Amino acid sequence: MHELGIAQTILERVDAIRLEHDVPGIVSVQLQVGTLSGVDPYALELAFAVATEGTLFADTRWDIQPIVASVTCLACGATTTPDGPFHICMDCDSTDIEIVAGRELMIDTIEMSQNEENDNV
Amino acid sequence: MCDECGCGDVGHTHTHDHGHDHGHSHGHSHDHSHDEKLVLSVREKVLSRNEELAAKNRAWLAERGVTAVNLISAPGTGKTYLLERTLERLQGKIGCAVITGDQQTDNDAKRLEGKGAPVRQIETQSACHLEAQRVGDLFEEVVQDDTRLLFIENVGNLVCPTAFDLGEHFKIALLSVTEGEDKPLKYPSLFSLAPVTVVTKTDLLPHLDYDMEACRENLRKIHPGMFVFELSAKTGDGLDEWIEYLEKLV
Repeated sequence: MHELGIAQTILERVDAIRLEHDVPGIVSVQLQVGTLSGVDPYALELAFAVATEGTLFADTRWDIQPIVASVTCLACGATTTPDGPFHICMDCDSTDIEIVAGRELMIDTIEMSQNEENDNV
Repeated sequence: MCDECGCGDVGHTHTHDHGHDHGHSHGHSHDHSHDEKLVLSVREKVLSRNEELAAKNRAWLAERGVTAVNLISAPGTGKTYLLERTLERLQGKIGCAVITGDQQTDNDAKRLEGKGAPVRQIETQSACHLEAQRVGDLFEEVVQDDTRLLFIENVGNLVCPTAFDLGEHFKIALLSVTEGEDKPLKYPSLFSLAPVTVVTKTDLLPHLDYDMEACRENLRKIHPGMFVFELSAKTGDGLDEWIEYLEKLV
């Protein structure tokens, strides 16, 4: 259950970016979480709910995009998605592979709100 | 929810280009130009800070010719016991140092003291893993001129520590025979990263229906070419191969 720590790290970084751009709030954050990253998207979502309570991120939406693992075969060159946790080429069964996706744990994009306070009717 | 920008806050206002601003319910429709949203492409690794510090740790160790291994397993697999026996066997042969992590207590550090290697304990409190910064902060305290091998004993946890690079040269997974042959399949992230697995507590095999070949097969499925040791730190069975391997690392 290190997702709370991960959520706090993301919050700190997002807040730093918010200050850099001098905006009052963050509408949404798009995250990429690979199936091999060791982070559970459900636990991460829960962690955001807990970590943002009562903060200026309380209404921020956290969009977690899961990234499925894929491997490129060094024998036949195919890029395939292994069935289950096995790291083998699904085309030729070779185990001589490189993991090319699935380890991501990334802040992809941030949607910032600008005129929240000074924009009067 | 605001239909215009998708935000949850309907109390705010939008600016648009017809000379005045107002709230969401304004009774007529017209073209909007929304300028209060800004989507920034970040494309940044969440753990990039940890990875930078890990790279610093790795460089620091390389400068001093120290090989570091990050020992990861579930709680109770026998990391500390194996380290005790290992330090005893390497004492006087290879300069060793240990950084050990637990949520609470310095029990592990006490067990490992007096075996010729400097030992430092990290109490992580609520954290379930070690991070590069706290490990690196202790390097100068444990690494001496003759240190060649640094053991980093992670917090007992098969999942979270795998996400945090500490600057080690590689990870070593430990797996005890009481944990079942299918553990590599259930928790593949560690076994896919670690090139070495130590199967511990083999002295218990006569009491278990354990299929060692199935365990090895599962490890190979997750990590082709996995280097596997089978040993009992208690009886010493298989310990010679492990010690020889460590001697070749430095």
